[in-house]
Amino acid sequence: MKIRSKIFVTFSVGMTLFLLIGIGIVYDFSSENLETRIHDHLETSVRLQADHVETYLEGLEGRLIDFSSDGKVKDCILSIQGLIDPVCNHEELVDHLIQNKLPVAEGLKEVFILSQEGEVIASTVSYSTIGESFVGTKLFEEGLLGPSIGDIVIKEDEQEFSFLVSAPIHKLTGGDESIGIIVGRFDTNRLYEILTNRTGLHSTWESYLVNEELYMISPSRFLDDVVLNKRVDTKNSESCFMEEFQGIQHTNLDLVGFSDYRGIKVIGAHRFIPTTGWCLLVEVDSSDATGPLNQLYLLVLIIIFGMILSAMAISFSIGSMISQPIQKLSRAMKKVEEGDLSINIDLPLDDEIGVLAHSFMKMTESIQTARFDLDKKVVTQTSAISEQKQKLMDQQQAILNILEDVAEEKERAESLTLDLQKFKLAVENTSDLIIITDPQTRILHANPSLSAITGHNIKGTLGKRLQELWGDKVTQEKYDEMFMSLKDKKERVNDEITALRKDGTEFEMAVNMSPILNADGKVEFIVVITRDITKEKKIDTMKTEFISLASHQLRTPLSSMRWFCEMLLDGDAGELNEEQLEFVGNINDSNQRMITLVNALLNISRIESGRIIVDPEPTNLKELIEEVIKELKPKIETRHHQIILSIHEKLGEVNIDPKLVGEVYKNLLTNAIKYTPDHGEINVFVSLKDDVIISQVSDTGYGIPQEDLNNVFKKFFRSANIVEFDTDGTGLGLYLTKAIVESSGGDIYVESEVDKGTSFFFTLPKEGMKKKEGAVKLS
Amino acid sequence: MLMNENTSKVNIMVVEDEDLLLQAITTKMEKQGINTIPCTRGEQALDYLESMEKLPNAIWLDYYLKGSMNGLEFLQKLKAKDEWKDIPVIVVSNTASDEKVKNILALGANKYMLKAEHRLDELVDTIQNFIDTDIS
Repeated sequence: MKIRSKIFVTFSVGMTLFLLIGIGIVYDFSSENLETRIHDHLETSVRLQADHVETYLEGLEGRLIDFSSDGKVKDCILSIQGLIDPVCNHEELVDHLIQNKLPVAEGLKEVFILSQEGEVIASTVSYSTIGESFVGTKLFEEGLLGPSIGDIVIKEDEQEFSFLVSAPIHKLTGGDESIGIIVGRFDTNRLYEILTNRTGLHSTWESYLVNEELYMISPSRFLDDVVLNKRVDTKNSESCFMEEFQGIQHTNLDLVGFSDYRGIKVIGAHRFIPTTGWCLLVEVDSSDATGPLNQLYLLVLIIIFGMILSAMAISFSIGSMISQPIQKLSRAMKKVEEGDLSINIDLPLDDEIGVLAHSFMKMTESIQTARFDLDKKVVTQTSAISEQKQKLMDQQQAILNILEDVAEEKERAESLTLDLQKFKLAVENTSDLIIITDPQTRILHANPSLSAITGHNIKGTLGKRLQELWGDKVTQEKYDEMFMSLKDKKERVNDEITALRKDGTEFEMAVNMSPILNADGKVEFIVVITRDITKEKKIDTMKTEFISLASHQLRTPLSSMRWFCEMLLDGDAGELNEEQLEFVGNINDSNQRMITLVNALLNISRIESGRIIVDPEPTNLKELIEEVIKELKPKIETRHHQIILSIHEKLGEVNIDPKLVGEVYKNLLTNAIKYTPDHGEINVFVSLKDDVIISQVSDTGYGIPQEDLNNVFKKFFRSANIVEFDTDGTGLGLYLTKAIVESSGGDIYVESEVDKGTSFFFTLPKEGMKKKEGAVKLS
Repeated sequence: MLMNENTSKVNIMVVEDEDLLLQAITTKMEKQGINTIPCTRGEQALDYLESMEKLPNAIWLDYYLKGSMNGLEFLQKLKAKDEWKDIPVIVVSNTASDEKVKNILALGANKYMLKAEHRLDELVDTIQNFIDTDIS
């Protein structure tokens, strides 16, 4: 249940209970009080009214006594009775009564006089009543004794209630001897007037008289024809007469809430009127008496109701007042609970809830701040975590990779181990001497070939420097040069040196030294592979000798043939006829071919053996080419070719082997001359592009068929379209050319179109050719 | 007359162990009016030089020679003797290693030429050129 409802219910119920209890108490108290007060009031008023009635009645008696003391009357009575001398007759008496008595008393209807015997001796009403006896009546019996007042009676003919008041007529004033009774008949108007003289709030207030027979003798306020007709047998009347009879004082406080003659609850009071023996009853309806009270109750109830309503309203508003901020607060809290921290509780700061709300706002603010910080932290942390996670994943991946790598590595390691074993086996068993040194060339490892080649044992060699091992046949300069290349330039060293064996004998050694660099690029080890090339050198020499010999042996007869042919042709042995000239010429030509072939073969064998010497020197390329052209001039002129040379202007001297490069130009130009129809055009074009010298030799010749282009550089290849008319070629020229270009660090290629011409391009490095020590030159 | 002939003619010593070649060379030279002193061996050539009244104007020397002396050794001996060292020498051979060619030239040979590469008259002209320059 909501606070508002709780407050509302609690407050309303509490208020209602409180009010009900209060009202109950008030009611209880006030009704009793009221009734008592009413009762008191009734008592008072009954006493006053009774006094009033009695006064009135006594007044009436007094009037009658006055009447009785009237001398005229006495005289008349006495006269009439004959007791005295008739001084007055009947008529005079009646007149006297009518004239002197009737007017003086209010409500006096009739006056009549009874004789001692109880007979009417005079009446103001009519004479008919004269003689009427009242003997036996209370009036007569008591009337003689003193003044009395009789019951209310109704005179049948008059239909009017009246009562008789009598007083004895004494013979002497103040004497006891009665001569008759004077009776006055009074109407009830005045009496009733007294009874109906009611002042009070109560509309049901009623005063009435009851005679000894308990009949009402005054009119009822509520009912008609009650006088002498309605018997009032009520607690009020009974107790009135009872009290009178018993002589008890009025203690009629219990006369509350009894039923009156109508059967209606009333509150009552009474008073006995001794003069007449009547009871005056004053009553008021209980409902009427407590009416104001009821009204009060109603009022109170309305008030209560109103109060409850206001209490409810108040409690509601209090509840609201309390709960609204709380609700605001709670809504805010709910928002906060849902995660929205951007709340604004609009509450004044003048109460606790306001303060609470304010505090709450502050708290949320600080939470927000904290959360912001936290968020930031979380973001940071999250990113850190994700980074971490990423890292972990990476690491995981890395680990996986590593595992993979490890597996691979293991495989690799295994294969490496295997390789290493093989390698080691190879190293250990190779005839080459393999030495590993530190950067200072101190020997760390040597394979068993050491002792086979040098005679040193491995143990004794470890820790020694290479030069100690190799001996002083190599100059210190040479050592320095080699080790500088290794250590400073980090370049391999390939060389041949003469070393000493342990026993002091010399031997030729090919040395291959490679620096092994570590991750920093510094030399960590030097691997030295040496080979005893003494035998090779010997073989090489033998080979050279053989080639020399072979070429000599071949060339000698060829030279002989050539020269004799020449002499024959020159006519040194006499003039030859035409046919002889032709034949000798043929021999000479064949011989010439033979010579060319031998030269080519020798060159090829030299090039292929790799022993060709490359001996670069600063060379003016233009001059070189011009020299070649000059050499070829007879052939060019025979064929009527036009030769054009153009060379890049800025191309100065190039470090090349002029003999080799000249051979290239010569070969290409020779081909161009040979395979171009007469009156052709030959272009030699040398250009420079970047670091490369490009030479182009173009002709307007027969061209090379497309299918043969790939083969022109092959040994002994001759293109089909030239073999037909030129049987003189060896098929070795371009092969040799290509070999020279490539051994010079260049490239050669060809473009050609049949019957249009051919272009050969070859490149040479601008920085020139590298010097190469070898054994042979081209011839 | 002969004397005159001899004195007026150019004398060229040809040291060539190959008979046919020697014949060809001397024939060609004679045809051109050159007096030749053919030798097939180095020792023989040296003997001739010792005994000759008039030294040859030039020497045609083959590198490879039969016998105990090759062209190089002959050249050494020749150049070692003051009377002989100024005689122009053309080494004409069919083959020789570069090193040997280098040594020949270093010893003072005027030219090294490859036999098969040249016409005989070319060679003769070349050697005559050395004599001409020498005389002039």
